[in-house]
Amino acid sequence: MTDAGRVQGSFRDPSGFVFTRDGIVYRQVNLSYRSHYDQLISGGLYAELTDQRMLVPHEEDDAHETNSGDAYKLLRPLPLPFVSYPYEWSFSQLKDAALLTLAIQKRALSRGMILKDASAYNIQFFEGKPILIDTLSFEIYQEGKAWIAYKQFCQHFLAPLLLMSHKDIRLSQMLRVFVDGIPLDLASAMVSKATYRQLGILMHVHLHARAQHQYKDSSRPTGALARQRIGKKSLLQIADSLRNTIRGLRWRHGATAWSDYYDGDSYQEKAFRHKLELVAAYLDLIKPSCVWDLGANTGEFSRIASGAGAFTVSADNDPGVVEDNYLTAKRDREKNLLPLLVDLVNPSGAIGWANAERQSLAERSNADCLLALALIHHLAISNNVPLLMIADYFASLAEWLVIEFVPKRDQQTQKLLRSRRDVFEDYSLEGFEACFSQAYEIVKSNPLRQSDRVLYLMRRREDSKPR
Amino acid sequence: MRMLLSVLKLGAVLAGCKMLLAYLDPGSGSLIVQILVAIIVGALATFRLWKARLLSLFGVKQNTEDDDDAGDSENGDVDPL
Repeated sequence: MTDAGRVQGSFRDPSGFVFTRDGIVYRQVNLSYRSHYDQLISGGLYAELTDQRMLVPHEEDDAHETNSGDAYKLLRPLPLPFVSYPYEWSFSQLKDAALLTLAIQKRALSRGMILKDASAYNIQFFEGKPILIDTLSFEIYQEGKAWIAYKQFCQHFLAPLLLMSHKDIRLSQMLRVFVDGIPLDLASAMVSKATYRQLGILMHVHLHARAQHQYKDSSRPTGALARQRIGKKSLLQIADSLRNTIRGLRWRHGATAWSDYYDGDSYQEKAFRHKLELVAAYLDLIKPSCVWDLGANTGEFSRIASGAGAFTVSADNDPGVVEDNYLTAKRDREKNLLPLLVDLVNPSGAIGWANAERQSLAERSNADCLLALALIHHLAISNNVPLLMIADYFASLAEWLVIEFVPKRDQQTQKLLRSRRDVFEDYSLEGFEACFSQAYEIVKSNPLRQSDRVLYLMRRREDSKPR
Repeated sequence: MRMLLSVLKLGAVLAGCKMLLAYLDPGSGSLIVQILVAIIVGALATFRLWKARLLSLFGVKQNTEDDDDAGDSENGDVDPL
């Protein structure tokens, strides 16, 4: 196995690593992890967790194919339709991922194993639910041994949830900066002193941060500290305490800019219905297997795509509507819709070691088709992005594009122009078509009824190469 | 707080058992806090147990909650996963 196909986010744990070959994702289990892997399988934990869809199932392939002397097993995990990151999740998505991690920890302990890491990046959303994807996260439990991943759990889950719940929902974006979770001293300093009255937060965040500070000096004697004894019962109680603390964190949002978009006067009812019909007809024509709905709001149009069988990423930059979207998808047990928090003006970049550990949004593009409905005026006018650059970026993401042009005379565009000088001379139907025609062929276009807006189906030109 | 941590550290010295060797650095402070949390939640659990036993003597039943509800955020009115 060369490093060529190695997944860049898989290098910290010496138990094994992930690589891709011929488009298939594999996980190598190293010989050093042999006893733990065997215990996972023979002890029944793997079967229990995969039956409950808490851990991603895998097939075992021939380890000799790896050409690696370290290989014990070669696993072929069930492929995921999309890999998302914690800073792209809504509040409840991160909360569900945290609760799943704790539930797995308890089940592991009951079967003689323990989670040796508790990274939020080990959780993905599959068929609408969180699932652990790192099969090598377990080790054989040794009586008396503390939970090694306690700090990581608090930094990856508890601290961001606390800040989102008690301070500001937008603080989830701190996870983009702190790749190993939010430092507890920072989280502790940012929330009000009133949180000291909540025992769980007091212990797992405030006291935890103080203790970290007191013992951060490696020259302090730590030999005795490295020999703690904590019984299994205590570990279960710690997991319960974390679970109760996290369950107690709530976030209720008020009306956001978009959450009442469909209830206001922004759309004529007929134009809206017409747009629903046209989007369905366009998608029926191209039958995409994967759709990204950009500026999805609460996912009304995403659900046309997911309802037609396409795996759909339903992206918006408003944490409130992404939260609503996720709760709706969860309530209705929707399996092929993934709501995500994405700011198109500053999409997730490549971060971590060598800027390669976590991929950028564009690098993870697997869409056949983009939906960009009622979006263009926000990009072109609110954010001053030239139409040519928008067309170029969209063309780099997917072959097909369903896009709605919102003219200047539209009341939504007028709102955006109300308090600023109109410097957008090219922003017209003709200018839009001219710019987008450089990257795309216009396959269909239909004016929306009782509206000045126009809906387009476009296909990327052969000579417009994806990035 | 400092005194409490010092007491715990002393406790840790007196305890002693397994060496912790892992690819993640558990952090000395995080280990200390785990002991503290274990003591507190253990004491609370014992208190609740005795309270429940005492109340049961008078015929009062308490609800006990011990599910792990994987991934149920309860941030909305939704069913457990």
